[in-house]
Amino acid sequence: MIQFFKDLIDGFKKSKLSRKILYISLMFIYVVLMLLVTVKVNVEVITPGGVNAYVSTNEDLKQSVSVYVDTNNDVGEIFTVGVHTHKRISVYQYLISKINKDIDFNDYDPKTDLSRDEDIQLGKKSKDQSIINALIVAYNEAKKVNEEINIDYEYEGVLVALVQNNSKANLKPDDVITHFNDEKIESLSQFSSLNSTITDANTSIKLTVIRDGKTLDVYAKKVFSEETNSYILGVTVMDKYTIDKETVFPNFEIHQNYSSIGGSGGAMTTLAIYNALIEEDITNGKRIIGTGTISLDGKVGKIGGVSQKIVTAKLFAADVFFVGPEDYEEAKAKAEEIKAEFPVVKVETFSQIIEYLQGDING
Amino acid sequence: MDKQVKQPNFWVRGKIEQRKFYEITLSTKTNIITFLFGLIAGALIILPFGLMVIQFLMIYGYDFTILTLYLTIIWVLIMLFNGLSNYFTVKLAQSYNKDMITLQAIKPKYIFFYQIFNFGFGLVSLFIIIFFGLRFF
Repeated sequence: MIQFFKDLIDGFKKSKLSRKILYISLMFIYVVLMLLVTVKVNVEVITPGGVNAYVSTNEDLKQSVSVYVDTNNDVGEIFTVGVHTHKRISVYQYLISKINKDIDFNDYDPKTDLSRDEDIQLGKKSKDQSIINALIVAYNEAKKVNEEINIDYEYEGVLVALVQNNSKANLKPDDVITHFNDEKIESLSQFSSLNSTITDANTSIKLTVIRDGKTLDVYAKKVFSEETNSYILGVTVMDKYTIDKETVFPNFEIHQNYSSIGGSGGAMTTLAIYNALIEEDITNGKRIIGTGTISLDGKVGKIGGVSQKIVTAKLFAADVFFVGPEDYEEAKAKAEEIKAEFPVVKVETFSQIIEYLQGDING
Repeated sequence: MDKQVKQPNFWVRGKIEQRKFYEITLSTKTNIITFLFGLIAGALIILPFGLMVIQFLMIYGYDFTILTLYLTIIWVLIMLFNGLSNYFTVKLAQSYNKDMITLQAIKPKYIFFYQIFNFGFGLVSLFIIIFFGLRFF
């Protein structure tokens, strides 16, 4: 091996000047390329992604979807749409992303922003809860068409999805907070309101939680956040509902499929479940793509990366694109920019999606 | 009257040189070391280009219209890697066996060109790329 390198060096020494310049230039290019692909920058890029079908009534496909509904109805072509995010990309990735106006950038601070693993953890929990919301809203809406359809559910409390490293709340991911200083929690907004009354780091807050099936009290203190300039618990929380599987009709199965994560597929999951429950195919043979979270009162909420989702919808030949009111303007502008042929429809509630599609069927 | 002898092209020359190399009997140890070194050296040179392709896919993977272009680039890189690894295998074997005249007479640069355009390897690698590429996308 040593002899080989000696030969290599000898060969270099004996070569003509032009050859030497060529070799040095090639080595320089090699080093530059290696630096471009290995040196990372604190930037997060958001690129268009893919579309996903979350719901099926086909028993053979039930393992590959998130929700299987036990009916013989056709779900139709209803897709949620996702984006890809990459944190701390290489200089090379940054440069090739800059030339494409369909790609968005955010600054990324590894100290304060969520890491990739935390993002995934939060995304999974958001998706789980989004599916529960979608089931409840879809079943209740379908009940208006067929009274046999039924779903019963109850509020469990506030689910701890993520705990920051500096948190002094003594909470763990998957804890369900049922009481705040002995006051029963009925909703996330009530929890937020109670939480906002504590504005220092010294007050001890008694939280009753369900952890691994056991009820216990934990005592939490707040920490100061420079980002929000206030005292926070340092946890990310969301509503937690459970569905009574004994009384639900028709039956459904949830499969924890995390090929895509997050809650932005809520509205379209609701639509797909609804279409699986009713006999009429509300899609009228159209490929429906959309985005927006779904809340229990049927409101379609804000999401991120809507421009990238419009690009994705065009790539997957959407016939119509549904979007919540807060993202509508950006979605419409992007659709016009890329000359998308599908209409971008603003919907504030799930009922408006049904009304639009029913109007389509009725001409 | 001078008669000009037509020289075989790079590819044919490479094929002849490659056959000469295969006909030379080297020790098992030399064979293993030169083969491994060839692979490592080829991989090291291809590394930044390979990383560029992977990182490109991470950003632009959503656009399946570039699938053909993307698979073609991977195929070209694999063929280049094949050429480089064979080139370095011969080069190292030559450094190990200075007294073997037949081995020293082999011109590795022709082997490099031959292996870059090696039809058999090219077809097999193309088949594998298409098979896995279509599954991935």
